[in-house]
Amino acid sequence: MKKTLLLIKAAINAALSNTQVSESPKKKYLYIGLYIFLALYMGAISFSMSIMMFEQMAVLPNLEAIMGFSSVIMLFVTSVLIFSTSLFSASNMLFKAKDLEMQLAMPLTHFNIVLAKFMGVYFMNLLFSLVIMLPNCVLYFIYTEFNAGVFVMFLLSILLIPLIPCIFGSALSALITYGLRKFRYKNFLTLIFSFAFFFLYFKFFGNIEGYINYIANSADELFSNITSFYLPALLFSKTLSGDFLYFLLYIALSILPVLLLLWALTPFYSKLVAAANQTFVKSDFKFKVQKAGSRTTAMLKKEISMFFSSAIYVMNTIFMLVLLTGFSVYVIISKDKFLTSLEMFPELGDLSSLIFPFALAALMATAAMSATTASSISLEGKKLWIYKSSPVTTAEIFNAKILVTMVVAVPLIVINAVMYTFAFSFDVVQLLLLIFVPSVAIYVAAQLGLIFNLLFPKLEWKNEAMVVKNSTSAILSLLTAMLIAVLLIYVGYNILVVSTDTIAAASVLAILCVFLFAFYMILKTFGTKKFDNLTANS
Amino acid sequence: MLQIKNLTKKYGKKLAVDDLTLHVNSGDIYGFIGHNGAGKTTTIKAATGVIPFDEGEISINGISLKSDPVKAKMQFAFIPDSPDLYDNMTGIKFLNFICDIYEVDAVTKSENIKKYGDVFELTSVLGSPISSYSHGMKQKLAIIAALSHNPKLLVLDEPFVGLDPKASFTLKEIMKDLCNNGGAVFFSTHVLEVAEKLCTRIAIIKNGKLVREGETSVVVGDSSLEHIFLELIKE
Repeated sequence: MKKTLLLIKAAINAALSNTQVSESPKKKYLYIGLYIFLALYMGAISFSMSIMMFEQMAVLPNLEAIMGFSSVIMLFVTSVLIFSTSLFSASNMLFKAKDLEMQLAMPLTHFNIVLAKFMGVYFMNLLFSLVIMLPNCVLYFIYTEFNAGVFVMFLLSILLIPLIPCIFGSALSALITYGLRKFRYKNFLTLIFSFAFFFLYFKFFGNIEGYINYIANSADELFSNITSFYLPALLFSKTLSGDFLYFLLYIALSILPVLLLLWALTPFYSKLVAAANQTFVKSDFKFKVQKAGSRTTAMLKKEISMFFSSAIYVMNTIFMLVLLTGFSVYVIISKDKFLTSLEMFPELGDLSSLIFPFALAALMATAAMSATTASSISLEGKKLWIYKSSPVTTAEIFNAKILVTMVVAVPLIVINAVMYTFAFSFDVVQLLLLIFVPSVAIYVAAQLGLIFNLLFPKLEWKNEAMVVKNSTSAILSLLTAMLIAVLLIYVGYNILVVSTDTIAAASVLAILCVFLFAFYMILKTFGTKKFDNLTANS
Repeated sequence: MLQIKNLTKKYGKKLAVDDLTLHVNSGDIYGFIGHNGAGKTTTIKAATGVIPFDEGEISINGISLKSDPVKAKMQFAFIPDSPDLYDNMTGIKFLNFICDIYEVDAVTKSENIKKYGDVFELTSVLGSPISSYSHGMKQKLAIIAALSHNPKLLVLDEPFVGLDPKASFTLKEIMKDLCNNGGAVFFSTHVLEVAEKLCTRIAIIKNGKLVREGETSVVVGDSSLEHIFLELIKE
């Protein structure tokens, strides 16, 4: 028991160290602040969703019986969210933890090890359960009569919610890990699934009011459907009505499957660890005559390879542009519906004349948020020696990194521009502006990302998320690019009021060119000096 | 071939390399030895442009590393002690990358990759991602990459760590061949027996300062390199 508790403590510490809470004191408080902000943000969303549901239900008859529907639905939403995150993240924590080799060589049972690792997964997902269900719990007892016993059972249930989705997410993650162990293009699959997941995520949140209205109006039917196939939801709903026996059943149903599945997983644990850490090995390479290439092409290929090798890197950079492209396809397909919706705001005047400026602003702003360079120097990490000892100039290195952004983003910009042009009959000048303005914007954003990464490099990192998502460079670069985009839209709008949209767009393009030149000079002078002094211990 | 003059490098207040001067001539296999933290890796990394230095001048074949770094770096190949390579690339893609950076023509590239790939028995796995390689395989790949563009000067930091005996022997033979053909090798090592047998010249560094330098036979004299080294470190 003591050993298991020690292992669980180690697993939770490892999970926290992956989220950088254990950095230097200054950064530690910064990250704690950031996580508190994220928790409050998610809690606020949950609170809003819950209050909308409760308000909808409050006007219906048979209030006491149906108030629990909202909490059951939120439990289901929480469970789905935890299941999804476990599917993606459990494999790493269960089978790829850095201390696994050491633990497997120690006098510890595999069951103890896998149970401790699973508790690490549970702990990280408990946050979702707390931030989503606690606001709902508070609202439940505002809208219904307070009962101390039910309140305690509700709170304890919140702690149990993550168990079932975590264990099933982990089990499925284990099967996928084992099934794909010899599949060469695992990264590509991860990317596809990540995009699909976030498309659904944005689709849900893009129409959340509609879904909540549907939930509130169909609460009866939804509740019946959810509780008929998801037993924990049924037991939880009975718990809310004060039935202690059902609460005990809920505890048993939450804990027993975890223990059973972990016990079933234990004999295969070593195989799964080996499968998770296996990479595709092709030992029958037949040498062919190689072609020579240029230095520029070689560096660009290397940068593109580095970019696409990391799903996190791709998702955190060009995802917004991909999302916009998806949205553009939707607008084109539902063009008539979109144009009709513009007529719903007569007080705003003829909005159809603003389609071009709107399209340009959306494309420019999205492009500005999609640069890949804010962590591209940090990602060199300990491999920086290769560039540093190679006969390449710093300018060539910078150009290669900026070019990745362009190679990845410009085709998407062109696709969007062409779609809008055909859908809304823009002229050639407008098409060219739709292509050039966002292209220059993303080039400027790429330069900015590089500047921030040179100011705040992080070459010592354990995993890519630390530099791609959680770095000062990435955050500041994004915020500054957004600020510049907002300022440009403001300037463009003010010019539009007194002139044509083409002149407004051309003016914005001119301002972007000024930024481009300024950042070029900064990179040529300060940036080059910074890079030349950079070492892997920075 | 390699001229290091009055090299000084500080990390904060700590003087890692203090006014170090040494010359590696054509035909030299130059061994650079010292205790842990003596400044060997700092010297080597400064000489190859991996880290900047505070004072002094470094030139390769008369080309200054500071004023014309690209031309200077075309002259040599560097292999670090820890082969951190681009894990997402396959071995062959990495070799192509290095050759293209050094503007190697297609014929030379193909010949060298095949030759050194076979010699180090790595050809069959060049199609695999570097992430799947062991430490020794990565070290071999780094060596093949270094040799693929026919450098005149080879700079290596602890080259024999992680190499199997056959690969170590092969690397020593390649070093001798390079020097016999007018090139030079400059490497650091903790393995004094290898330094004593292989090197034509030796430098011993202690606390950032050069304490002994010269032809191996003169430095070692009638004693052994190990004995000389321990005596110098004790002083």
